[in-house]
Amino acid sequence: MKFISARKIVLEKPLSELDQLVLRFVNIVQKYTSYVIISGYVAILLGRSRGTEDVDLFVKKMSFEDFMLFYTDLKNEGFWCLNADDVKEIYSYLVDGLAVRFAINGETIPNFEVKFALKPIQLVTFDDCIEVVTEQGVIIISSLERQIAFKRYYLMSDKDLEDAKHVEEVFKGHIDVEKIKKYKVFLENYNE
Amino acid sequence: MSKLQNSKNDSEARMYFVNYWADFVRTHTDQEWGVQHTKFINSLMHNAKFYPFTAAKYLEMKQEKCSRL
Repeated sequence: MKFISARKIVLEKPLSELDQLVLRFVNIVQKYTSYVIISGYVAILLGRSRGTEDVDLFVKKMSFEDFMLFYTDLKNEGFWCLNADDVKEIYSYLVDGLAVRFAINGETIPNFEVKFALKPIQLVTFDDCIEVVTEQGVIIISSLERQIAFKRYYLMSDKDLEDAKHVEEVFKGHIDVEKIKKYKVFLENYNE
Repeated sequence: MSKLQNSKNDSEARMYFVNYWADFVRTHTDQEWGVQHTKFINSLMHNAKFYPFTAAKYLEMKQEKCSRL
């Protein structure tokens, strides 16, 4: 794994079926809007040895017209929405700040948990996101410091603490500790 | 890198392994850790195909909205 800069990592590992599925999904997403992958899959992509049932991502809000095109594209490429079939209903969940999940047709897991980034705390993840360049394409993830802080000081389950530890250890020497402290203070004072 | 050791309890043992594996990832090439990692993740992907719950049941467990029957 090469840490090229705070905004770019090059990953030369053989991609797993999960990585390939993620690339297949985000390649459709990015035709219509920007996205950032957050949470567990970030640690897994960066080598953490655990499974996951979902890949969480924030996407920038789309108009209903663009969302219709996006949803049609997803369906044509073999995905379905677990929550509903009707495009208006799916879109209404998203504008209400709820997550919707997409998976391979007929399957339940793994799925993509998609949310419109509507709150400032969600939108800022786009400001310092990282490009992970793989042999088969680019995957955009949220910043390592943000990952560590969220998992260690906000989510705080055993799994999250372990994910934070993994990322911190793998990128030892490249992590901006002051940034984590800043996020920690922010999260301690954050009320949803 | 350090050797794997027995730990006092489950969460300590898990965290020890997280450290151990992260250390392995950091000190080896992507090819070296990636082959093992990919094999492991692919086996989990294979198991996912036998997931027994429908989308509706899954979302009910997650307490998320679903209009599918």
